[in-house]
Amino acid sequence: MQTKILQRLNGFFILFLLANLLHSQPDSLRKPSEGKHLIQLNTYLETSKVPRNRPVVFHIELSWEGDLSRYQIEPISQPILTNLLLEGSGSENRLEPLSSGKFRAVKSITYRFKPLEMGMAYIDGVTIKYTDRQTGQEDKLTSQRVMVEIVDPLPEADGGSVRSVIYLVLLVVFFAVILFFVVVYFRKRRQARESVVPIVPLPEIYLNKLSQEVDPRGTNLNEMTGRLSKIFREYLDQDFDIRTRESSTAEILEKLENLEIDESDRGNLKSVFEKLDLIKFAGKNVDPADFTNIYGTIEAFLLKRKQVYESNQAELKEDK
Amino acid sequence: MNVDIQAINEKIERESAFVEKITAEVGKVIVGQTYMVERLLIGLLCNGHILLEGVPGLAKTLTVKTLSSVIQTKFQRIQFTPDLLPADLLGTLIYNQKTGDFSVRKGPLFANLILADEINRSPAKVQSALLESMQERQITIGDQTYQLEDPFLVMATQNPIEQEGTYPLPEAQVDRFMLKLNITYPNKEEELDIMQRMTSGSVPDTDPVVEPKDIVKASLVVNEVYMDEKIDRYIVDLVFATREPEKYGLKDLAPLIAFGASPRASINLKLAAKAHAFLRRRGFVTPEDIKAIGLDVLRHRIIVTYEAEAEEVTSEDVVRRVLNQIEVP
Repeated sequence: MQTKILQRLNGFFILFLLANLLHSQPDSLRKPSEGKHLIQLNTYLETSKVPRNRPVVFHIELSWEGDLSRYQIEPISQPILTNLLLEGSGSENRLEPLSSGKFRAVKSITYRFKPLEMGMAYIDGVTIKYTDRQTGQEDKLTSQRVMVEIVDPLPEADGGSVRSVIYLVLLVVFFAVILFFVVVYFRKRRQARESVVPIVPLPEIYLNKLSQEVDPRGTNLNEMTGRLSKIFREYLDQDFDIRTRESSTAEILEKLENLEIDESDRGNLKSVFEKLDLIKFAGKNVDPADFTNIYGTIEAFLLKRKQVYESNQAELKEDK
Repeated sequence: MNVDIQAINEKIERESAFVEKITAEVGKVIVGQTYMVERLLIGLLCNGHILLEGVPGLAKTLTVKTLSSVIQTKFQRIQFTPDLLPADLLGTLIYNQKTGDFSVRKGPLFANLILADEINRSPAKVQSALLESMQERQITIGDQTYQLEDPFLVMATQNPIEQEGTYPLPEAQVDRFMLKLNITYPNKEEELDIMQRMTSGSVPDTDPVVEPKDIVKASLVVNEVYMDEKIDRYIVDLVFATREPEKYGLKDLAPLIAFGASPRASINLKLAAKAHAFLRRRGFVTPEDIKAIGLDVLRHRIIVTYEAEAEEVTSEDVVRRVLNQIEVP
């Protein structure tokens, strides 16, 4: 009887144990469809010691078996930081194949923080709410508080020296450009100087003009005097850069005062201009002797200027 | 074409002898202002009138008064005011109760040298009366016309600094003045001389050195001064350059000139240049004379545009450009 009772009690005990065993299994095993423990949260730092001048990289990774669309993850709020400043964040979703032939869905969020001071820095736990789309069940996962040590900054890479090289190159380019323009300027100046020096001296040009256009033995001496005056004024204008065409005799004589010409030449020119005025404006017929005198004075002046030109040119050649 | 320039020169030498005497006598009282004295003589020799612009206190009145005493002519100074009437200038008929007749009372215009001070202070009718007399050289009072004595020179002044309550002369009337002079301040040495001379307690006396008939005679000789056709053409070129500047290489002046100089400018420039040559004791005109007198003859005959006024370009600037740009013969 006792044996029977013991046998019955053993049977109840086994049944009780079996019932208890079944009840104490994880949800995933017990209710795979609900998936309570299928989703996993993993947070980690790339390095636990970060130099002061480098970013702290913090990853939050959610993973589960199956499709990516199985869980709807609520937007994750920014973690509470101590001695860190958020620089940026990014996220990615991926599927990883498992040995069983199934896939593991991974949702990864990466934060980059800037260390503020040397010492310890902390990233508080992050709470992630999610919804199982299959069952409609909502739940949440919370990560641990993470600490990171901010250590001495690393020396900067060769940025400074690269900058110096760039500056040096720019400086060299700058001086090269200046040198180029200086060379071009002096070359042009030399060319201009060479081209400015006339092959035929200006006084010679006007001497030729005088002999071609003014005939001292011509019949109409008044007309010849007019031409002579015009040619000579033109020459003075060209050679001494004085506006003779628009100037009266007094104005020309005033300008001649400031020119580097002999006193005797100045006196001769004054006399020539006065005589020319008398001929041109006093209605006086030209006396051939007067005309010859004017012509001779102008011609002598031009010849003298020609000699000055030639000696200047010779000096220039010697200098070269 | 042979002109007897020798004979003209000799005549001029004879007739212009008074010029130096006048200058010397006026110089006893007036310091500097040779420019003004010379222009006054040009006006007298050409029977022209002079418009004078300058700030007060530059001895304008004293100069004319002194000149008048030196050449023994009658001088009158008329201060133009807003309430002046034409009769105050010309004269009027006065009824004589005793005789029962009207007698003529001649106005101050019956003189040889007249200083019309601040002409722009009087209304147009008074200005017109003066300008008509200047032009006609005669005055009609009642039914009697009186010829004005030669020489007859009106020197009108305009005060450039007070323009409120004035009646600016119309351009047509300004044109009747042969010359417009701009009188400037004396230099430091002259100022010192003026100050010492005027505070010495006695104003130097001047002696009459010439009679009015000598001036009239000289003005006839001025007409004989030879002017070559080249100079005539030069004058025409200058005047035309103010009307059609673009044709004379002065394109930039075209938008600055509203109205160029009138034919009266050409006539007066020729006359004034002859008188200038006479004062230089030369029997013929050269471009130098034109250049010397050109500014005074032309500055009041060119009307500049609003654009020129905005750019602060005056008619004087325009004339200077023309004189410096036009080719001389």
